[in-house]
Amino acid sequence: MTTGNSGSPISRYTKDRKVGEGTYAVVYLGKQVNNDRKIAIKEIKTGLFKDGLDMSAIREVKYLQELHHINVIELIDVFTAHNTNNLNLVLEFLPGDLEVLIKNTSVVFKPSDIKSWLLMTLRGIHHCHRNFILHRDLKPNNLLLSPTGELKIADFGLARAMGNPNEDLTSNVVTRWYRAPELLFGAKHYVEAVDMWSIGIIFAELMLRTPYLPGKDDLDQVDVTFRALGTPTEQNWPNVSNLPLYNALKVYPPPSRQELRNRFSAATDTALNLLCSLTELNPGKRCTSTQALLHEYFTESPAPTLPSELPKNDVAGGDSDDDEPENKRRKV
Amino acid sequence: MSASDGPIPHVSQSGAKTGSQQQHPPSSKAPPPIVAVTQVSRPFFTSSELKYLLQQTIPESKKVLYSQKKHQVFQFVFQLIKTVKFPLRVLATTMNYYQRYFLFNKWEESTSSGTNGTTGTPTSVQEAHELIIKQHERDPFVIAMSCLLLASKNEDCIKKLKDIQVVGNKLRDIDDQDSKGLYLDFQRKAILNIEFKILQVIKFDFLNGSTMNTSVDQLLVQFCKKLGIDYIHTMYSWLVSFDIMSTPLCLMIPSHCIAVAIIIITLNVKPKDIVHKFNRGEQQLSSHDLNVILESLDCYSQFRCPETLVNEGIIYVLDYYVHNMNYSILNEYMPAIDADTGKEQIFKFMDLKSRFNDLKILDEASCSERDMLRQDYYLKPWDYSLSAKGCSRFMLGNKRARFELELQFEQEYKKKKVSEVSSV
Repeated sequence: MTTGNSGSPISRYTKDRKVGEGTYAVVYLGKQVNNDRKIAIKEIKTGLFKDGLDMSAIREVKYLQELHHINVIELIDVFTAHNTNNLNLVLEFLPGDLEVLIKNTSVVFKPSDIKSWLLMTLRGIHHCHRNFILHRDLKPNNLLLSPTGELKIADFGLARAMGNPNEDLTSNVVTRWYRAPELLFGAKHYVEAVDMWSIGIIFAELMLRTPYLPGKDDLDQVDVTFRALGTPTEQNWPNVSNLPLYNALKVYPPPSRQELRNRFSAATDTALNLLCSLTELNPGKRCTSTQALLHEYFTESPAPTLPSELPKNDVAGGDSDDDEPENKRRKV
Repeated sequence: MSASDGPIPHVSQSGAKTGSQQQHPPSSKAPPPIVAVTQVSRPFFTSSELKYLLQQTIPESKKVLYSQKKHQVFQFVFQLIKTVKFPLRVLATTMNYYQRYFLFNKWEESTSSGTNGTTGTPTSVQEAHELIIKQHERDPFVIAMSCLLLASKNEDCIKKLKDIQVVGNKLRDIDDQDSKGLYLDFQRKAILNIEFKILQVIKFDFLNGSTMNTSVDQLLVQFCKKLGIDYIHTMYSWLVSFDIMSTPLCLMIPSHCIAVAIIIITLNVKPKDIVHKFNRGEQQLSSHDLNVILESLDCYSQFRCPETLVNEGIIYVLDYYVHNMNYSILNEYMPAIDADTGKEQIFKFMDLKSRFNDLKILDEASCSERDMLRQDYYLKPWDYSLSAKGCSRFMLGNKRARFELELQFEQEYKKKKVSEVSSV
């Protein structure tokens, strides 16, 4: 067996700075010595905990080793280093994320910018879905931005392969605000549609510049979600009442078109159409990544902004070495 | 990592052989040399490679003992996953890891790990504890629990290690309740040590040859459905897959190829009179129907299975039944004498084997000689202390690329044949 990279130059990595520490990993920034490429090293503590190698580390390695796409974070290397049993994951370094940008009110988003970010997110998730992988934790904080403006989906710690027909999945996934109604109802069987919902909510957040459905707790999330989008009924979602947590619901009517227009005053009618089909309550009717990518929204004017021309965070200033504060916030 | 600054000397070595253990040459300026190794995962082995590896880890005289113990251990794991309600694919992955572990680790007959009767006399308490942990690490049942732990994590079934331990020890009638919880603690440490060893044996490759659904039994049922095979023949295939699950076939060819191989055997055997309780009313397919399905089945275009790999699977499964029919689970569900032939069931497999004698299987020319195998760095015993001394880098194997190459040749060959025929 010959190696695919035989003859490749010696690659070394430096660990320059610790930028974050979580329960099971420490994140360092560094460089790939031979080409000065910036990288992030996630050092995973093994053996320290009572249950061995953390499951999210397994998932991250398992899925990122397989997925290679411009809109998915690249796992460059996996290695164990001397003196420890720790596992090091070398990831490409991405200085910004969408959440920081959304919160930065000094940056103006043009409709074409939003279109570009949404397009890149959909391309990334389409690649996951066509490889039968569910991400299960999409949120602006996990959509990272490269120095050239490319958006990349990161954090595969909750990802998993699509379930088998007779298998129960846990409904306790996805950060609360981005959780699809079937998950709120405790569904044990779900598909790619949970990721599509999250993307719909992120789309709304990009337009509103504030979280669309910010529930205070799991119960409140149900209320906030259905107050905004209407309570699902047997009519628009057959058999919904059989889901475990479908009970004691306050019935809200679905929002009228005019209400939605008022809510998203800057959105075109086509943009609203896409938003509605991404946030369709019934997961069976929600649009897939393929349908979303083929949506008229992406062909109508204005064309999506080129990644390199997308707005960036000014706070970081010219020297990208200073954007450490953003990274610190990121959960490990 | 103690020092957060300073370079991590890390080498992706450029030798043509991978999986090798190469010393990085010390340069004049550099601090003391650090061992750096690239590890490429290899999910599948040829039968001669397997034979060679097992010769290194299990002495000839202990082969029988090893398989007896393996059988016991697998029975134990089966009970264990039933108790904690894990799906069958966790069992399959556990068995895969267990068998893979003993390709690279010496199999030692262990005394019961429950006793503290160590041979050496420890000089300190800590040493005594380490001896106990070491003893646990030799226990095949503890190794199996470690395989189960990693398999359950890889298969997305979450259970606390302690719960697995408690259930496992109860099944083995081991009293693990002491006042300080010492037994469980030592056992846990041993399990985690073994887990890290398994991770190195699999080279941190959690895909095992496919991104999704590597469980033969599930693939098989889906394939049968796609082919329109009825309940009773699906059931027969499933029983075969259950028998085969505990064999090393999973280390040789990918699961979808195993599934197709089993289906082809089922369609050839055309079993009748399976003892079963369900779907009695369902109309059974006639042998003509089965032949039609068999004729139309195309391993590659329908299931992406290279034909040579499927053939490899067919031969293995037939061999298995020719030698083990009486001990198989399938045997319990079949009448002793086949109604059609009036002979014992085993003759069907023997007959099939003689008919399939000329099937084209994998060419092992590159790995049939001991001398060649000895040159393969991957097959060298793995030094676990290496990761403590230096860096090891883990990469996915490119075995699938090899399969694709084989396919390409096959297709080119077919095209050539077609053009030859048409030119005539």
